[in-house]
Amino acid sequence: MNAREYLEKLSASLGVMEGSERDDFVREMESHIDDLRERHPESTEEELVSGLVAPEDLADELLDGKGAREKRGGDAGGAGGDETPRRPRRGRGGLSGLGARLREALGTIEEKLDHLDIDLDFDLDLGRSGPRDDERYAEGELEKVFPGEGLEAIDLKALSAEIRVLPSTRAEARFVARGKRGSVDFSFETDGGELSIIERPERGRGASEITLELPASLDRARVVAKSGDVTLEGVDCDLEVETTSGDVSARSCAGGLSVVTLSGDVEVEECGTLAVRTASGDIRAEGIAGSAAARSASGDIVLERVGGDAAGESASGSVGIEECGGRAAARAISGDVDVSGAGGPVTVGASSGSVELDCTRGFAGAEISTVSGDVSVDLPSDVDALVRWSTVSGDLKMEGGRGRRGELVLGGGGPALEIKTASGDIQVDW
Amino acid sequence: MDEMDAAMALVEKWRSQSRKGFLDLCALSLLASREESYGLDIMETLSRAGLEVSEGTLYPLLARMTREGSLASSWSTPETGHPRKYYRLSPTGQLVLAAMREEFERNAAALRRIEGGTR
Repeated sequence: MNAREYLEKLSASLGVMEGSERDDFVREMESHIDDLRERHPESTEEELVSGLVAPEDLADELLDGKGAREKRGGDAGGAGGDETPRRPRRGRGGLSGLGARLREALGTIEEKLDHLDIDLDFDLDLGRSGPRDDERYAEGELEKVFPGEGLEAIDLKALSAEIRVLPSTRAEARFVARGKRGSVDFSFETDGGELSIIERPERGRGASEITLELPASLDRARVVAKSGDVTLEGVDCDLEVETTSGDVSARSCAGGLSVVTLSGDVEVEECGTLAVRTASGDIRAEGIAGSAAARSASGDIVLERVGGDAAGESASGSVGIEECGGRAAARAISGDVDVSGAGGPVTVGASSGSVELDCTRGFAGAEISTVSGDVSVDLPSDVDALVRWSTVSGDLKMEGGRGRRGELVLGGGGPALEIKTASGDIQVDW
Repeated sequence: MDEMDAAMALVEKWRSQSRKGFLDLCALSLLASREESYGLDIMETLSRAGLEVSEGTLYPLLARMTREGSLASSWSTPETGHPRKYYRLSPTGQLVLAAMREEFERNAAALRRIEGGTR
């Protein structure tokens, strides 16, 4: 668009305004463009005009807050009397428009997280819902062995015991609980291929230590603990863990692992796939063969060396993703977001936190939005990409780029790098 | 995450609300420090001070403040160059600026005291 086209569009968009007032604004913008031309003789008219706010948006802002005059304009057009409704604002443009666009972009992250198809909604209620009286033990130590044949799943609900889950060396499941005499009390119930082991609170006390050994033939196991920590090691079946305040750590578990905890921290190393949700607990995972998804309200999240897709989301904590084979999606409100070495496209959102994206080892496209957080992106030196940016009031630092919105082709052009901020600064290096 | 969307929307709303009044103060303050100025010059001065404002915000703001009577404007053509619309602080604007500055300082001091008191 050249200057004349811009001014014509502005004039047309100001149609409801009084003629002399409208001409005054159009003249003023013409003078503004003349001034820009004097300041930037190196830029073409089109480049200068493309850096301006869209004429329709400028007209919207000019007309906004001029209700009385608009109404007069409406009368002139025969639209009605004093009750003429205000001209509706266009959806785009202005800060409010940017907010909508940012929310839209952040919505796509939510979608991406959903694509990972992991249901993290569990019920943490640990009330007395165990099977009725079948077996009851009241010893200081309890050991039970169950044949592995026909056994598909084990469900363990415990209170404050430290729980260790390990592989069994034999084709059987073994359960051992220890505690003070009189405080070890569990019920066992088998329903089809499923074994339920439930601890029954006995005068507020419970076992202090539980070891559960799982046969290799088992499909899945679920461990629910209130305040006890849960440690999983070398188990290959699918695992679900829920704790209230207990920490969860897992190592070398090849199946799918899902963890939900309120305040416990979660540490995972060398596992199959991972889905974690915490309220305040921190999440740290490295060496996940498949996909990894982590969400927290206030905990910090670190995902390293993920084979598939990686997704991290924290409201007030920070999110870091380092090396993943597939897509990376990360978002935070006040925390910072740091993503590096993603194999697939990257989607990042932040509000006041800053965003750092390191794609020096390869770039497959990225979408970044922040409100006030700064954005910094490193691309490979021989990158082929299309960079598109827009910021309401942030600064742009990029070789060959200028203005608050625009686009730039790098190399032969390629995957898009889209960056949007309200007041955050944008820096792109390669 | 629901709270994320909610916070985004609220921050955005608060930001545009709180900025509007603050920009009025900054524009008045800028024009008080010099005899007169025009659109791009005002934008650049605000930008150098660390306050990025787009044409879409500035020109409507100048138009409104002129309409309200804090600013006066007139067209003139410098010896070399093209016609420009110049803005000046009106006598009303000088009074408005003094009152706004006092109000702003009072609010900032109150926030500091509130933060100090809750720590």
